[in-house]
Amino acid sequence: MKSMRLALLLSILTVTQSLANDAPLVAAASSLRQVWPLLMQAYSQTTQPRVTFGSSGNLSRQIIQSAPFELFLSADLVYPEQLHARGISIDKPAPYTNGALAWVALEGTTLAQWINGATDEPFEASPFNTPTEPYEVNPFGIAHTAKLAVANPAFAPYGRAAKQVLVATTSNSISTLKFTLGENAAQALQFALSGATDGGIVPLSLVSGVALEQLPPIVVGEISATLHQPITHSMVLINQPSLSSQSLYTFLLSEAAQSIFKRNGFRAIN
Amino acid sequence: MIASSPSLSVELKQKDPIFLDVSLRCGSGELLALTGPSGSGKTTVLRAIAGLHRVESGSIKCKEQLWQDDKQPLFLTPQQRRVGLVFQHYALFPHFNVLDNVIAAMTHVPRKMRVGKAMEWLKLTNMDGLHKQRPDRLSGGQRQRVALARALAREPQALLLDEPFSAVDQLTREKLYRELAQIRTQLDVPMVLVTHDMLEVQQLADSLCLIHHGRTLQSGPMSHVMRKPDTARIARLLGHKNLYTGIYSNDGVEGVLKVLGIQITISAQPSLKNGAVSVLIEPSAIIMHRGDRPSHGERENPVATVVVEAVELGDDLSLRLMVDATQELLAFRVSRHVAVRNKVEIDGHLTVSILSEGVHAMAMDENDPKKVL
Amino acid sequence: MSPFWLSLKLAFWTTVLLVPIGLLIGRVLAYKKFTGKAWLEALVYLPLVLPPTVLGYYLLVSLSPNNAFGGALASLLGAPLVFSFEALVLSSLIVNLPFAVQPAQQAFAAIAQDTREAAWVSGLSPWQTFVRIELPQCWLGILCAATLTFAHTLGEFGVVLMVGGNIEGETRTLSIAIYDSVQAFDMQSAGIMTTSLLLFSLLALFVVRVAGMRSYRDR
Repeated sequence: MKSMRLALLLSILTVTQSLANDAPLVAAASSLRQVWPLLMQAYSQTTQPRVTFGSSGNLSRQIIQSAPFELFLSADLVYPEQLHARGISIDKPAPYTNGALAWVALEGTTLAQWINGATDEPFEASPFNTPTEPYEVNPFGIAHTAKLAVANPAFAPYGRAAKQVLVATTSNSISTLKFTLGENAAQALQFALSGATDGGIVPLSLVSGVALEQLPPIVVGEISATLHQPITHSMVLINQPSLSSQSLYTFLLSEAAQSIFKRNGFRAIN
Repeated sequence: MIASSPSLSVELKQKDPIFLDVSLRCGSGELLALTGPSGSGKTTVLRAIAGLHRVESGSIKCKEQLWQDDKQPLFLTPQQRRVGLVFQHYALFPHFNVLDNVIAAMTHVPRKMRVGKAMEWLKLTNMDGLHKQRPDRLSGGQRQRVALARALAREPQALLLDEPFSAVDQLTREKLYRELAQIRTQLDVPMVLVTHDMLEVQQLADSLCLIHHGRTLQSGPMSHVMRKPDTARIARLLGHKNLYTGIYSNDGVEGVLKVLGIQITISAQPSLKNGAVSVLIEPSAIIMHRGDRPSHGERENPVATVVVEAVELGDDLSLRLMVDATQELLAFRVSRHVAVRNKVEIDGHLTVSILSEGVHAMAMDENDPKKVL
Repeated sequence: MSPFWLSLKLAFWTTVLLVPIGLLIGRVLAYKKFTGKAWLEALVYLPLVLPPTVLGYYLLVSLSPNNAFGGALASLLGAPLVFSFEALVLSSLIVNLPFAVQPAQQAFAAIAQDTREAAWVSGLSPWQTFVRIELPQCWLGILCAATLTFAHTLGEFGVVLMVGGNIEGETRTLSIAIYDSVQAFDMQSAGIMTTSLLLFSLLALFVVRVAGMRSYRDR
């Protein structure tokens, strides 16, 4: 009796495992988190792909180490190009959309006030240059070094772009700021809204449209594209991709997908 | 009952972890007491016989079967030797009941017969009523009986007991002595009992092997070793109290011993040189004179003493007498009614006789002190 | 396969495979003396003090098909071992080794030595002694080793993330899924998963404790 129950349990554990493995694996930049469900709705295939989000750098590293992804949706051109150079992808990177950045802060904070009070849109200035210097002292009169959340520039393209924005706009050297580095762009947003930072620079796609429904009350200020290098999202199919991956690849370049991107915080490919 | 040819012969030598140079023999049905002070190596010897300890060099032979031999080299495991070992702390299997503990040693018995035979062994050791109990619910004496039953159930070639009675109280111990004395008459195997209790030795053993610092000092039939130890040191290790220094001289026919201020004639001992010797007087050889009727006799050897100590121990009186002539002390026991009859009292004068059969002379050790008590 | 079942599966296989290994090593450490024993013990308990990132790093590097060892393994198994459920099991076995060895070692050491000797003298071979005399006396230690291993595996995060890579249905265990949901600001899912893991762990530990106490009383 006991051995039968054990055998049953064992078989359940092994069988259910094998059933799940037919859907193709996709590695996607964290900036795509909120737009992905919308894309999948439009994709309407019976086998929905399994997706893993992360920073583009981390994901490409895993792919180099033979992670079983079939399609890699990066937030830049560099990482997919590296894969192509190593012979891991079958073709050159194909751009599928462009990213945008935004200032974000919880409602009621000093950065939120600045975002609300700014006149130009998208933003071209930095809160650290205004005459009132809102970050010089806090309400108790103690000097305060602003703490900003951004994605880690070492391996997240949005982090690289955020740094470019700050260098372009902040007259004081960036060393007056403290950074909390998110492991990927989504975690940067999490830190930005945690209350432990003063706010952050995050992908616009994570704080616009559908995304806002899940977030606490925040204030968002889209940053002008002139302040940073283009955040060109490009993708590659990894060696021996299945037909499902190939069709997903094609879908992402289609009109339907492109219009979803445009309506959810991304910019059109030139 | 001592058999003529030894069933168990043991020769062991080693340097580490403790020094050993031991040789002993034991016949079938004979109970040999392996005794000596703590740390002398007795338990190591017993474990070596059982195969639990491997000595550097030695030979162990039991009933024509070699258990250990340097020449081949041969070393049989405990399983291969068929020994019964009763451990000091019983070593019963705590998760088995009494019956299963005994059955555990019966791998050589067909399965169907095991329960029946085990119950027989338990009956022999008076534990058949408690066969379903777990060891933790038994008293010390009961556990010891189960341990013995288990050792016997193995139908061993040799029975080894490692201070089996040290952990039980005196009353239980007396009972267990009687039971063991009864059971052993039915066993035809050599038995080795490790103990440091001389009373136990005297009550149970046929022969005795005294070990000290890993060396065999003396071995042989119990009464012989006890009454005629080779040296004063051995006498002390055996627990003897009345040890003195005397002068021995041999007149050709008999031996003459000057001790305690008197002269005693003993049978000649050719091994002894004339001169200073150690003298042992057994307590049983000390006879009190009746105050009113002095006894006559050839080997009277009267000694005048003063009673310096008289302690009541149960029905006996433990006496210490100081010899008038030499101020040395004699120790022995008498039953209380005898003491009363002879009007024994502290500081009272008392004359005693020393029976020469109970006097034993030994060569002196280099470091013998003059007086013993 | 849902993250919950994946976590359970990982905990199950780790426990089933590791308990016999822990038993064996624990017994050797309890009973045998040999040169280098201290090194073996240090090696066994190393995962306790190393951060998961160190272990994850070494596992990733050694199992990667880009090097000789990992490559050989990959051709043997037909697929690279990294980023797979099997890789998680392997890392779990290493990470949890001290949790399986230590209770077993203590349990064996706590058995009265003379009962083992009494067994040998009574005619039981070393194997029979192990099965009939030693094991029954240390089953509580074995249960403890199994429980600790199971519970600890359920909570594994760092090594799983590094070696497994958060692949849905394969390596996205419950702890990873919770992490993932929080990043997606899906606090509802995160909350459900966290609560279920907490309740399950509590329940499992409670059941084991009660079972242990009850059998102990009956002995």
